[in-house]
Amino acid sequence: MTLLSVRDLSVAIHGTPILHGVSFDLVPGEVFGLVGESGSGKSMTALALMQLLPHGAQAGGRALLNGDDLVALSERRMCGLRGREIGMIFQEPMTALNPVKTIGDQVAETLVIHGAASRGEAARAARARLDRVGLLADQFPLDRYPHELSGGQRQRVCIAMAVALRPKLLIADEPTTALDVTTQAQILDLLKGLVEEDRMALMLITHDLAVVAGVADHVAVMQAGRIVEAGVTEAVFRQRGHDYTRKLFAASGHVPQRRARVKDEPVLTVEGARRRYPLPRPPFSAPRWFEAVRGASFTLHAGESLGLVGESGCGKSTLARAILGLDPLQGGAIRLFGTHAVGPQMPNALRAGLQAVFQDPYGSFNPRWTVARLVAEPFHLMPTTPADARDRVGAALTEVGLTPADASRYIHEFSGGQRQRIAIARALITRPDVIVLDEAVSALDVRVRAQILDLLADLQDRHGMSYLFISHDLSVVRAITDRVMVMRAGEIVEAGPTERVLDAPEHPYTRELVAATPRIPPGWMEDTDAA
Amino acid sequence: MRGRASLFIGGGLAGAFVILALLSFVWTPYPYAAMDIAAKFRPPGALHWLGTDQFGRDVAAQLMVGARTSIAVAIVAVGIGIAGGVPLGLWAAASRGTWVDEVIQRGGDLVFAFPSLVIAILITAVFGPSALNAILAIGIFNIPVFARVTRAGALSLWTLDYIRAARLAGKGRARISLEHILPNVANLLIVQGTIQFSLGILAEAGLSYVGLGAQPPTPSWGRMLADSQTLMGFAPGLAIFPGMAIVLTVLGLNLMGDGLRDLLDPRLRRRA
Repeated sequence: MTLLSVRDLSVAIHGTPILHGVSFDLVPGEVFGLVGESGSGKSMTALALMQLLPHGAQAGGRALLNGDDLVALSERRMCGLRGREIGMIFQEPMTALNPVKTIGDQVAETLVIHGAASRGEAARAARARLDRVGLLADQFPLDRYPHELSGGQRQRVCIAMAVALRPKLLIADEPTTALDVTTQAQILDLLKGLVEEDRMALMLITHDLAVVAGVADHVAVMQAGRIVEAGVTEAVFRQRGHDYTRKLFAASGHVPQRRARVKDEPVLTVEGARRRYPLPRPPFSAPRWFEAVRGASFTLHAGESLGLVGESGCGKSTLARAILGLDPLQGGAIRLFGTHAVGPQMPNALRAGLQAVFQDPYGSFNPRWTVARLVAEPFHLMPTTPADARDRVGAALTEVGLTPADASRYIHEFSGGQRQRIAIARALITRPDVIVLDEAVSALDVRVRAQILDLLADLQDRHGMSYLFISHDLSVVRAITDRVMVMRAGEIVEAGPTERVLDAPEHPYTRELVAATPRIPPGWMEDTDAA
Repeated sequence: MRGRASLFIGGGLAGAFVILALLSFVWTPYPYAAMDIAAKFRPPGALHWLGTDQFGRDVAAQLMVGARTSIAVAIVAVGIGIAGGVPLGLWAAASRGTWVDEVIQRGGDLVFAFPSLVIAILITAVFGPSALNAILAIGIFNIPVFARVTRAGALSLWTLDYIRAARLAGKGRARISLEHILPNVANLLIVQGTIQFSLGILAEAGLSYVGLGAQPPTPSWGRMLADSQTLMGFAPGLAIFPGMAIVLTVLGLNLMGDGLRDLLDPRLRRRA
């Protein structure tokens, strides 16, 4: 029994083909996973089904839902279907809700628009839906505003809106990508429960193979606008028939070759570091503070790769800024080589020993500068001649897998992965002793991520610098670090060798974190290395 | 495409007046101050394209030289605004949350609290009516405008990772403001500049209308309007032509500002 049957769906934008002959079926009560890298056409497929394609896009093919062809339906008929027959959940719960309307009004709106209920009934129905997604009346009355909720709670509101009219088809585009792992696990459970109980068909779009492995009944792998492989999830994972699927799966579990050469010399010591922020306060009242880091202590050794994991808001980025000497501490000390204090006033020669690579490959560079000028910026810290600077920029670019000729280009000419290589070149240029990698591979596709991890391992091998690797992604931390620290609410709750902490966690929070991390069942991925 | 069209139309209109103003330095149909009482109140025709006024002066020549006055006043007034406002805005953004930021912002609020044209009239009335005093009066009110625009643009840039990278490279706030922030808020400033430019032309016309701008015999659009007011009945052209000049220049500059914003603002460009 098929609910939605998509045949030869194609999309072209201003004449450029984006999707080619995409075909699949959705069955009530089942989850269909659509996986692929960014730009592979996953979201385009969803938008085409909703007729929400961007301006200038032309869709072809057929998509039959109850005998209606979603591709050919008029805008008026589509308005009747959206929300009623098809519900959609977006990636970013922070922007998917209207900040000036209460959550009750927003859920009720769907019902009222479709004439399914009067205002009063809609409010009662909204209450029922919010209860259903786990936002109970005593804690979450209808008159709450979105800004009063956390990311996971907002995503629950979005789901309540999407399922308000009990649509038969639910499309979720990266619904958990912006969420922490423990929240992600809860949201995935909720979606799975909705599909089973209400016999909905869920189309789950994600880049995360582990999420698909845990949730989807069927899966399709997309590349460059085509479905290259599709089938029952376990079969696709085990067989990996298509060349691209093999590469994608190998990259997702990729572990770079590392030769651990940790020396017993402390490079960076953090002792009881405290960092607090003033909170906005009403006039004439005592100042209030938010303690972002409450007494963190650890030592980073020469040649070591140390992981720092935790969920958003746990204080790991605040700690990183203090370690980089960008913010002052309110207590404790951070020292380089055991003696030199790190802080906003530290001398330039010392600052050259500390560099960083940031998360966003797009926000990390001044768009108006050439790569040569960008990479050479840290030379501000040390006397250099222009000729020497040029040679060293060329050498650094070569080291990260680019060419010296790239130095004269502008940053917008490079892809996300290449930009992250340039960011690494910039961090390398002063030959630092410590590089802080703040979610440095989180924004990258799996295959690019695997290459960058290889590059980082290789550079550490050659130069013996230490890494402080900050991430929310346990699999990445497992692949690249020797030791790992788990941070929660400003405190380091557990620390130890990476394998031990992630395989046999001692602290209850670490256990929760490890348990919530989606995983591909071990048996499914045998012979990955051979592929 | 809509932004492109308004850019061309607006640029064309504003450009035409700039060309006329420049041309007036080397050539005008008649000397702009030459009176010919015998030829007063001529309707537009072959001899005098836009007619003559009550003293027989050629309207076209006066309009061309008047454009010179208007544009000069507006350029210098915008220049004062940028020279004063941009450094203040950069400084305020770089020291966000400190008393410096607070002082600069509240200072701007204070200036905004005064009705600008009334204060301009006050200044010119106290220091004597002249084009220079009009420029100063208009320019001072441009300072907080540019300070606000610069600060707003700079604040969003300060949160970006490349600013963090620059701080890691040991660069101070002043250096980061000059090297990273200023080039990236330049777009905003160009757009705001065109808008302030048109407002400057309006303000200059307003001041000379009440006799506080450029003094005779230097022609100015505002005073041409004022002089022709009582003659509307039998020589409407004397009011219509300078009025049209003001409207078309301001319209052109505003269209150009819109077009430039669409062209330079990457957020709008991506949506297009």
